[in-house]
Amino acid sequence: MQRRDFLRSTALAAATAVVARRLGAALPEGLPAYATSPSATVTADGVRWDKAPCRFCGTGCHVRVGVKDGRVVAIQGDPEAEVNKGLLCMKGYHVGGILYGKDRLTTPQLRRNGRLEPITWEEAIEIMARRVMKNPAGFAIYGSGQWTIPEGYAAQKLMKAGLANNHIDPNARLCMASAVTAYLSVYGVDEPAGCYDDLDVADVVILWGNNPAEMHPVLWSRIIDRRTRGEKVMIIDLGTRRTRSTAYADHYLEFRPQSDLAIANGIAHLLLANGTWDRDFVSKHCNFRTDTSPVTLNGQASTFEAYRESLAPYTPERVAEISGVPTEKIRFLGELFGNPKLRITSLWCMGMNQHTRGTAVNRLVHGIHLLSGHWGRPGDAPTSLTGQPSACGTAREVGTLCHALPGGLLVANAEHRAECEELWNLPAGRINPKPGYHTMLLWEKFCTPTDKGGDIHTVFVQVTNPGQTLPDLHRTFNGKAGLEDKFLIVSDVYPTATTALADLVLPAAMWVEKNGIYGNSERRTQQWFKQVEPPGQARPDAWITLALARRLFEFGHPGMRDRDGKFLFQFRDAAGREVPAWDFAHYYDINTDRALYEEYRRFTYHKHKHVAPYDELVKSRGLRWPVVEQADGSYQETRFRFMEFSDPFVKKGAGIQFYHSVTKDNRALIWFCPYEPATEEPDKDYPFWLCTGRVIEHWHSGTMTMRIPQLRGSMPNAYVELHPEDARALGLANGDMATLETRRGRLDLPVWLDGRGQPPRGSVFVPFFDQNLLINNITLGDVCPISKEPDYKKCAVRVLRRTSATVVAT
Amino acid sequence: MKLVARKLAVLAALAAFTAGLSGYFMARLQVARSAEALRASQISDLKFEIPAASPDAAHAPLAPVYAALRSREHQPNHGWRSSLATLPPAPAFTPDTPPLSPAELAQLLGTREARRAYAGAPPTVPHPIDQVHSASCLACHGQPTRIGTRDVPQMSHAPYSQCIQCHAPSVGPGGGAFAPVSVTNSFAGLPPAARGTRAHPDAPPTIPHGTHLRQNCLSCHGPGGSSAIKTTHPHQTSCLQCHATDAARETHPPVLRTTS
Repeated sequence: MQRRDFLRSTALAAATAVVARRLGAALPEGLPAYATSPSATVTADGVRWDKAPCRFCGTGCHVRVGVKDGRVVAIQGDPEAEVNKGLLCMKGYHVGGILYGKDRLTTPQLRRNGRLEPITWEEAIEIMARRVMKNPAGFAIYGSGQWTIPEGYAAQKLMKAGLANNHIDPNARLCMASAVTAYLSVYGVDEPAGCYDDLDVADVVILWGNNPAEMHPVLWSRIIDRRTRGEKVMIIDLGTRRTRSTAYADHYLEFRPQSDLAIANGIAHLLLANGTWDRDFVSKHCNFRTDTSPVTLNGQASTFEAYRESLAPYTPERVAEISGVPTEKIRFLGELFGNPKLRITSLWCMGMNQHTRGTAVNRLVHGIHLLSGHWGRPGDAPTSLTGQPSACGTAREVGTLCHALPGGLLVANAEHRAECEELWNLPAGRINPKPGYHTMLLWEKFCTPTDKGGDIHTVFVQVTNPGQTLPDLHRTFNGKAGLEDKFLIVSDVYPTATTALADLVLPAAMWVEKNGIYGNSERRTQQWFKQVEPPGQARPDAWITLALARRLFEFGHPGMRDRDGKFLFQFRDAAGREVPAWDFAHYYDINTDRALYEEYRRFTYHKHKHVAPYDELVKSRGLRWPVVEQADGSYQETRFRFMEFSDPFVKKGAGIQFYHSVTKDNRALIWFCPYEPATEEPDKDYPFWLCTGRVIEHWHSGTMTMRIPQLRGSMPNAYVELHPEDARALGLANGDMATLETRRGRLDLPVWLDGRGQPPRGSVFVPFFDQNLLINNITLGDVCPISKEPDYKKCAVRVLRRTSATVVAT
Repeated sequence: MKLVARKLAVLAALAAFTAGLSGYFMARLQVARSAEALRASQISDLKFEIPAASPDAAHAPLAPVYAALRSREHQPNHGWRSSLATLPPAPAFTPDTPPLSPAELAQLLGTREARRAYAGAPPTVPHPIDQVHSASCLACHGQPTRIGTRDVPQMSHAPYSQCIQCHAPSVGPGGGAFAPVSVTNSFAGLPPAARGTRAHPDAPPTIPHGTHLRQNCLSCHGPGGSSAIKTTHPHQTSCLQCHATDAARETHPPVLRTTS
């Protein structure tokens, strides 16, 4: 043995001994022995601290969870986490409280005569299995970007490998589908090339209809705290209303809703007109593309000349006319992008994604970064942020979408299907080649009577609340009431707008009540162990799926067998003995999360999305894929994709290589897509724009955060923001009740003037967290034709002073 | 001739500039002095003297026209120029400061706990806030301040740029008037830390809580702070010189790396 090796192994032994000693004391009673996180410690007051990613947004902060006597008692920001470096936001600091709302669902319940009555888990699984067996093709799963990776993977396998049914789609369709279609059509493969490190070095950060001060607070402070340290970072807020983020911006460019398309084209126009586009970068790394009619994911090939010609009408004057942004500010943006010395990061989230031209505007922003060469250096990045903790990890990477297979593969691609059938050990031809129903279609088919073509008879909803978050709820969700042959199964942690219409309600274990893995916005896969027991009979969603699959197997569904006739889900312990994990008494005998994840990991190689081995995740605060094994056996994460200095898959000497390019020539695509008006713009009858969104206190539909006293105290109910002059004209003062009317319904809301957000004249804003004031009853359901993501940000509304004297719901 | 005129012009400009400059500083001085006088008069005993009516009509203030009363300069306190930073701090604690009575102590700790979900949680804000700008938080919380009878704690950590990221106001927009808050949640937060330990009666006690985001000890243990434990020696500002932290609570024990 070499001296160096000897030193290393003794150090390793010593380290292991220290870790073991710490953990001997740290492992709480009742938790499985494998849940030995090396980060767990116990403080003198008997509190056990262990790591977990935060349960809320897509930022992916790590928290330290303090547990005493089997209950979470405190939370700390994890100083070892690269994402948040010890800091959290107000939601993160109170995340422990989400487990302890008094109305947690603790027992399975079946609706009988209009009322939910307790039943056993055995009965519940039996009922589910019988619904599926009735007509497997009419069964659908509506999942979530809050599914853990193993949960999503189990559901994906049950549907696509087992039932040969592609009707599985996640709520992420409502959230970042447009970002996905743009990454695919520009780079040929999904997810950002850059990461949060860009925010530490960018000279200019451009917010495209984005309010990270409230939606990604930790990333926001990561940017603005640089100023406290004396660094310079210019923030440009391109927005349709003033927000908390605007307060920190150097420039606020207020544009007319939908005209972001024109602004992006205007910037490209100026880069060409000023001759400041990056000829070298474009000639080496880019091809041109344009939309077809009707639009498609990959459009048609174009040329530089055609591109220049298409952009010719987008002069600063014309763009100013469309967008309302003054010409000099358009020119200013053009000059910024034309300056090769600056490092420019674009950030966006729902503003660009929830857009009837969502794919187009995403492509255009990638396009100006590519055209100007603001691509490929740290700080130069077009980066989409996600809203859910595992929208990337579970929805995008596991591919729990109606058209996708794990690892970025597609159901419509015969080679991809064959590859998955091989990995899953399925008989050839098992996977259904036809994409299933996307979210909007899925719910439409569910809410349409069977004899009128509504061919989805049962939906199983996991970890999400479509009864509050789908747009135009009267059409997309509420229609379920009264359809006797339709059956809604919901697994959740609290009663919601969705369980209100459910026929079968299943109590789920959440967050640190189970093992889990999430994937955040910067390709970081993050693991945690179960740390407390769930209440009552609540159980993990992955188990529910396994139990359903097993029951279907027992009922003789042929799809539940692989090509050797064995059950689809096989689990073995260290000694190689089979473990019946579908039986809850044995679910925790082995780490089923680890087994499912390691099975899934094999799918990630095809598109070079190599996720890290489970055991590496245990040791880290998450690792950014591709995570590649080194010669010495260690694993190296990748901060910047497609860039030689960081990405091991780039050919040596290439500098930048888009190795999954649509055109198969290692080039990214610069798209031209025209400005087109919104599908519903204000008019004489409905003269205001209605925009919806979130607030810092509440996370999405508020199911968790509205049960935390500190957060609810800060933001107890929804409101409508108006411009003070509009309010005056309508006779409305702060706190008065206004009535909002769209073509789809009406809603009464209290008015908030000069508050946190300030919309310009002619537009109003309403947050969607409040179950009692459901703004989605009146929002628009129109979608981006490519991504099928609905637009929640733009529709026409009429605002009136409320006449009746009823008190707002509490 | 032209040259002379130019020289004269330059001289005149210089003179005007100098006069203007001195006038500016004199005015500044006067404003500062009058503000100081105003503060002194309000802080000392809140007595105001009504000036005797002047016989000279030229000294009487000009009455505004009614239409102008709505404008900004006629709003209450428009002339208030004092900076919160110059308000007096709460009185420092000394060995002579009498200890709090049990009732006072209970009230202090009760208020403190009511604003925290658990020991170590960022406290909620017990008053309405400016919904947008952090600068307005720092105006009062950038330094220990006493406003009227209320002690305003200084921040316990270096200022991050976005206070409302972590600190939730405990009253909603409009003072929480829109909807009553009723939340049933059985989360039971970690109670405040017990006292630290002492090796012997004269030894400085150890710190029984983590110091992450609590680097400014005086925020709680100094004048105006919310902790029951006050320093008896506020002039000593290097607290960690004598008071030991608990490594288990401090961020994290160092990770043992196995690669050489």
